[in-house]
Amino acid sequence: MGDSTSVSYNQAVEIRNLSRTFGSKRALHDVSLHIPRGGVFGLIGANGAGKTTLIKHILGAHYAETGSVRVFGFDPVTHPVEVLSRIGYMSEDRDIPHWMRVQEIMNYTRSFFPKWDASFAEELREMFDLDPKQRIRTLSRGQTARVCLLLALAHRPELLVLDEPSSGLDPVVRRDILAAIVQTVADEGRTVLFSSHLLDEVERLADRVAILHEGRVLLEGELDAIQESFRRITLRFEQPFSEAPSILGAIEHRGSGHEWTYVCRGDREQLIQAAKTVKAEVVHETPVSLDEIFISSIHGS
Amino acid sequence: MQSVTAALIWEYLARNRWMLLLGLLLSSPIAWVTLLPFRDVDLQSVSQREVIQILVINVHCLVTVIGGCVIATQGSMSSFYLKPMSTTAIVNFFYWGGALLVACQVALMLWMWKIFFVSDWPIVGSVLFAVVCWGVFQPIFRGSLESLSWVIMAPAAFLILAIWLSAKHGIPVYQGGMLSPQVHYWDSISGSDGLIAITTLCISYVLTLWRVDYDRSGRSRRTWTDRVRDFFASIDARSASRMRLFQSPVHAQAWYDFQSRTAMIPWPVLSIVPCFWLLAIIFGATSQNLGAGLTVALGGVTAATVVQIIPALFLPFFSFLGHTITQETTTGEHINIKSSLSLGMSPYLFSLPMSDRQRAQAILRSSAWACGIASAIVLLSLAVPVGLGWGFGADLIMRKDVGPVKLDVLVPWFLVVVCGGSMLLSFVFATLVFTLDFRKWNLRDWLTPLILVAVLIASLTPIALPLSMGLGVIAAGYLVYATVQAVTREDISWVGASLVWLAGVAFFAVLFLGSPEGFGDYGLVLGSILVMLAMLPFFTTASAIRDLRTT
Repeated sequence: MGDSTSVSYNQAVEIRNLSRTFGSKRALHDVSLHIPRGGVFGLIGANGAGKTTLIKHILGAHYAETGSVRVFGFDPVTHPVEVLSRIGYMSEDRDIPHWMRVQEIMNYTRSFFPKWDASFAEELREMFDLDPKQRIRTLSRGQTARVCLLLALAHRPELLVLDEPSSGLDPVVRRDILAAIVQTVADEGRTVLFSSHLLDEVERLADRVAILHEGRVLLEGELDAIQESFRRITLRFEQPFSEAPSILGAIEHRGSGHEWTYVCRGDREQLIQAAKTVKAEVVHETPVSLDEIFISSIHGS
Repeated sequence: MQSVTAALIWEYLARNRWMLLLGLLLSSPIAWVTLLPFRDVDLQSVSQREVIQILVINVHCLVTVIGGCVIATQGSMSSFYLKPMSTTAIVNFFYWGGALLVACQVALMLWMWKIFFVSDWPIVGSVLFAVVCWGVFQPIFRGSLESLSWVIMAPAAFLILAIWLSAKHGIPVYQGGMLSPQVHYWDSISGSDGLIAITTLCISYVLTLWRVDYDRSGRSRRTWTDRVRDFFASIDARSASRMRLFQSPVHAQAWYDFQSRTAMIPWPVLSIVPCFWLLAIIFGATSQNLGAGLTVALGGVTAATVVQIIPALFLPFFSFLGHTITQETTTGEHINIKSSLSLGMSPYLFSLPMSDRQRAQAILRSSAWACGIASAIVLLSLAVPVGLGWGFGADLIMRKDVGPVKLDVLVPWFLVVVCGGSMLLSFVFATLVFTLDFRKWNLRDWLTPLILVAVLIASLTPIALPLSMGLGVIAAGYLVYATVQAVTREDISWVGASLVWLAGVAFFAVLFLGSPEGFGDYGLVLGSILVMLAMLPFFTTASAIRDLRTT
C-alpha cells in the first residue's frame, strides 16, 4: 500500500477478523477493531486477555495468522518503517536498555525519528526532573516510566500506544502520564491507544473503548454510548423469588425475595416493558460505571 | 520435599536441566578449535611437549567455561538469604554442589577427549585441579569486594593454587617452563598434591562462608574500595559529557550493538595481551634470554585468538537465554512468547522505525568492528615480538628436533592461520546470534554451525579431504542461494552483494597465495569454507531479523 492511500486514510488502526494462537492457546479470536484518527481509545481487559498481543500486532511484532491489521493504511509487518515512525510506544515492561544514560537513550532514539522535536524532548526531560547523566538502571520505576514516556512523545507521534502505562506507578507518575495523553490529544489529529485495567483512568480519558476477554472483543464503541446502553435497575416483584427471575437484557443480578437488582443492557423502554411482563415495578434506576460494565460483561460472557 | 537440600536440588535441576548441558556443549568447540592445528602432531603420547601445551590450554578453557556455566546456572546466592536456611547450608549447596557439578562435567569432557584424541590424557588430576579452581574462585565471586582486608584475603587461596601449579606443573617461571621435557601435566598425583588440594579447598570454603555470612548480615561500611568505586564513577560521569549524536539510524544501532553485545569480543583480547607482555618482560629479565621472553609474548598471540573466539561463541547462546518467556493467561494456561534478548534485540528496539536491511547493516558493521579491533590487537601482539626478534636477531621458538623456527615460516602461520582464522571464526559466531533459533530446528538456520562441526569431525576421518570438499560444495551452493534470495528480497543491493563476493574472492586469494608451508589441502578447504561462512551473514542476517522481529 502506497503513501497516497495512507494520507487519505481516516482510520489510525483497522483490524479485521484477527486471530492468533500460541501453540494450542488461542490468544486472539476473530478480533475486529477500528480506531479512528483523533481521540483516545481505551483497551480494557484482565491480565492475559490479549491486550498486549493485540498491541504487538499493531506494532508488527506478530504476524496476523488470519485477518488483517492496517495502521494508517499500512501493514505493520511489511512496512515497519512507515508504521513505526508514526507511533510512539511505551511498553508495559519498560524494556529500554538499562545500561544507557538518559541523554544517551534520547540521542539514540532521536536518530530513528526525523520528526524528533529536540526542544520538546528537553522540555519534557526538565518537567520530569530527569538527570541526563544518570544511567537508566539507577532510576526508580517511576522515573524509568517517565523516560519511556519522554521517548514515546518527543517525536510527536500520530499514534501514541501505551501498554498498561500506569501499572505499578505512584499517583504522581500516573498524573504525568494522563497529562501526556491529554496533551497528545490536544494536538489536532493525534490518536492515543492505551490498554489498562485501571478503569477509572479509562473512564476519565477515553472517547472509545473496547473490552477484551480471552482474546475476544466483548464490547466496542463510544464510551458514552456504551454507558448509556447499560443501566442498573432495581425491580420489586409481586411475589418473592428464591432465584432471580429472567429479564430480557439482564447481564448480572443480585438480591433476594421481592427485590432484585439487575445490570441490564438495551433500550430503557424495552427494559421497562420487559419488567412489566414479569409483573415487576422499577423502584430504582442508576447509571452504571465502566467498572461495573466491565465486570458484568466478563461475567456475562 | 523431604529436606531443604532435596528441595534446593529439585529446584536447581528443574530450572537448569538444559543449561547444564550448555557447559558441555560450549566447552566442546574449544577443544576442536585448539586441537585442529595440531592434527599432524602425534597426540598419542603425553610426554610430548606440544600435547602438554594442548592439555594445559584445553583444561584451563574447560574449567573456565564449565565453571562459568555452573555459576550462571546457580544464580545469585543472595536470593536464598531470606529463606529459613542457615548460611552454612546455603554455602554448602553452592560450594560443594557446584564443585561436584564441575567435577562431573570436566570428567565427562575429558573422558570424551580421551576417546577422540589422546588415549593417555589423565582425568583424575585434571578434575582435581578443576575442583580446586572452582573453590578458589568462590570467595571472590560470592559477595562484593568491600574492604581492604577482603581484597587481601580473597585471593589468598588463589595464590596457593598458583604456586602449586607453577611449582609442580611447569608454568613458565623457570628455564624451559611448560616446554621443558621433564614436565608432566596431572598424570600423577602425589600425597602432597592431595594435601595441597584439600587445604586450598578448605581455606576457600572458610573464606566463602565468612564472606557470605558478612553479606547476609547486611552490614556495610564505607571502605577504601568504596572510594575507588566513587573515583571510577566520577570518571564515568565525566564521560557522560561526551555523549554523541548519531548520523543515522544505522550508526545509532551499530553503536548500540557494539556497546551491548559485540564489545565482548575485543575486550578480553585487549586485557590478555598486556598480561603476556608483562609475563614476557619478567621471564625475559629473569632468564636473561630475550628470545625466551619474546616466545612468551608470542604465546599471547595464541591466547588472544582463543579469547577472541570464546566470547563470540558465547554470544548466540547468551541471546538464547532470554529468547522465550512463559506467560500465564487468565484461564491459568501457560503460553510461550518471545521476550527480550539479553544481548540482542528487545521489544523496545523493535518498536523503533528501522528496516530489517538497515538493522542487519548495523549488526554486521558492529560485528565487523569488534572482530576487526580484536584482530588488530592480535596483529599488534604478533608484530611486536616478531619485530623485536627480527631486530635483535633472537630465536623466537626453539624446537628440540629442528632448532629455532624461522620467522618466514612463523609469520605466515600466525598471520594467515591464527589471526585470519580467529577473525573469520569470531565474525561467523558473532553474527550467528541472529540466525540461530533454538525453537525452530530449521536446517537452513543451522547450516553454518552444522558445516563447521562436520568439517571438524571430517578431520578425524581418513577421507578428511574429500569429505570437507563435499561440505565446501554445500556451503558454496547455499551461499549462492542465499545471495540470490537476499538480492531478490532487496535485503542487499546488487552492488552490495558484488562487493561482498569481491571481498570473499580477495580473502580466497590471500588464503591461497599466503597459506604457509604445511598448511595442506585440508587447511585450504577449511579456510575456504570459513571464508564462505563469513560471507553468509551479509545475505542472511536481514531475513533472520525479519523472522526474529515478527513471530
